Amino acid sequence: MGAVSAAGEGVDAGRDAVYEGRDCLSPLSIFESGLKAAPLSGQITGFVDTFHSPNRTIALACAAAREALAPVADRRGASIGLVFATTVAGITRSELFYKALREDPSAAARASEELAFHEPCAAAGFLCRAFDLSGFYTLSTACSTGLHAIGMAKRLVEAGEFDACLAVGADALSLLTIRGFSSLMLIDQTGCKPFDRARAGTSLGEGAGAVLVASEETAHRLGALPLARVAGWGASADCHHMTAPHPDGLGAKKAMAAALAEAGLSPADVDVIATHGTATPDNDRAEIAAVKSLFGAVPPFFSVKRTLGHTLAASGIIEAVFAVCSLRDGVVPPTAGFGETDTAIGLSPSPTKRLRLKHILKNSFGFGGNNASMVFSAAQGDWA
Amino acid sequence: MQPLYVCGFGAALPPREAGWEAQIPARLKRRDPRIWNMAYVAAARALAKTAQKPRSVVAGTALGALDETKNFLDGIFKDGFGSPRSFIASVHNSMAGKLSLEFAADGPNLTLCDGHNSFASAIASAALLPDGAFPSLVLAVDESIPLIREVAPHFSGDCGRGLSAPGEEGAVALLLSKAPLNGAARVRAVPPKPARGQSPRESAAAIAQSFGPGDGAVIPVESCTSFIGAALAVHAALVSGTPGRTIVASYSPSSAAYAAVEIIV
Repeated sequence: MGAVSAAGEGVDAGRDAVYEGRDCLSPLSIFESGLKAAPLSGQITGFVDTFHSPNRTIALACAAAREALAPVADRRGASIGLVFATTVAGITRSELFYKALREDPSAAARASEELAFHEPCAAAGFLCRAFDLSGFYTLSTACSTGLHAIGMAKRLVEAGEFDACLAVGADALSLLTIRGFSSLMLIDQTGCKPFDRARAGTSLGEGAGAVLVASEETAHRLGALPLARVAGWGASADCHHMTAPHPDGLGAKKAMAAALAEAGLSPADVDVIATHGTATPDNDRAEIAAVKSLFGAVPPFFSVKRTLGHTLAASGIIEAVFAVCSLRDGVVPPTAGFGETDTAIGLSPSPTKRLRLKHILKNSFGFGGNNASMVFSAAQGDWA
Repeated sequence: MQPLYVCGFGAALPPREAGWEAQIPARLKRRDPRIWNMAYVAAARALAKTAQKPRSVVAGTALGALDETKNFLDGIFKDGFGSPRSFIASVHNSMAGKLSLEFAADGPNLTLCDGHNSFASAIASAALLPDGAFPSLVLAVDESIPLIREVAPHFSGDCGRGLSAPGEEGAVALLLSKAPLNGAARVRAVPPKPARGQSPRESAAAIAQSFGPGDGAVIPVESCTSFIGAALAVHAALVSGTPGRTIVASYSPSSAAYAAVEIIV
């Protein structure tokens, strides 16, 4: 696994921040947003790019991929595929170029260089070449993308398309997303408060996550220690609204149920839920409505959005990485930013707990009514 | 590479059909972006001659709703405020999300953004979905806007081929079944693979072999320079109805990767 986020470079740095419930947000300073006040954001200010990458998204992706592949000392001829998840791709550079073009049409002469890595697949191709991967898919389903990417990686390995498959999600903070979420009044300038009575929106972040998916046999052949089992993937569409979730969370419930069914589990088997937990009033309410409807007795749940910010397409993978850490370490992390129970939700996220964990459910939901859920189970041998 | 069976197909190709907008319901024509409308018309046509309803949507698009992305940025740069409607539409998966709403497809909803290889990626991704996600509505959709045509002359080499597609815009939709259907055309796809120094022509020849032996035309990458070029070739094979096997190769300069779709009518 690999991760880079506002909490730092590397899985260990992020895991520690998540377990401590640290607030890693800071006033947006990496570009001028044009908003009255700089919103608290999960920006990465100290990141050093050692890959000489064409844009910020690719630099983040490379850092996470490099960490995830590090345990594979010898590939022994194994084919490793890639499912790359992104929403903004190269827009961080394209939007600056477009601004320059508006002000000076002669800037068009630079179009070839400035737009060469605009397309989402340009980043996937770059990763493929940088890490000698065998083939790829580039996925973009808004904020649910990362989790879907792990699901597709699972399917590709099961189908024998690749011996192993790397799921990488990366998104850099951009003017488009900061101003876009702001235009929808979905950003809490003071930092997000998941599930809190006073929650008023999310906090955006940037980063990348990577997960190498392989059969147990292949993992051993590659010399990599299996960290968890990708037990079940569920995907659904709300068919309700382009941005607002179904108020009863019907689509979310369907995705969770599908993930459990594929894993061969019942709701009672789930020990903890790593929620999407964006801290927008509607999303948190709908997600818990769906959880209540499916689970009845709701297991402990948490959100890491105040610690890392909402990293869009990367969030599903970054947060899955830390969910797997929780599973292995038996830690239910706290929810930074939460203070007071919302009666409209009727439940509070869990305080820090140490439990033996066998199954964790991860949710990611996105624009377009797009829902993804995934069950991670303890790797064989971790649970007797 | 599991084959999928074609239950229905349709297209919305504005450069080739002046009256394509006639099929757009007034409520959608009034408020939705043009690229959503193209996707809608192609999907509606794919569903028109079958009683089956899609349970999932898998879209392939290179640049997504480019016009709305530009509109949103124009709003910020010109007025200091971008339209929330433009932002919502600018997300690459907005077309697939819109189709799920219109056709009540409440299963998996995926969008693949692999440049010229997006249609192959979409078909290959659909093949990975569980049985309950079928029939699946699989489409390719992209638009060409004046901004791209303005900057295209300044593109050079691979970048020029990657980003310029004037005139070749539209949507092609297939309704696909996983279960074999007697007499139905079938499609398979090889998802993007890095070119690794091969020329596009060499790549096309190599990828054609990955489908195994058999007769049939190989349409090389040179014929698929539009983002939806591969989908157009598949659609043409379905429209002609001439029995046979066609392999459509595509190449994305942005990712330096090739892919292919096999269609057997």
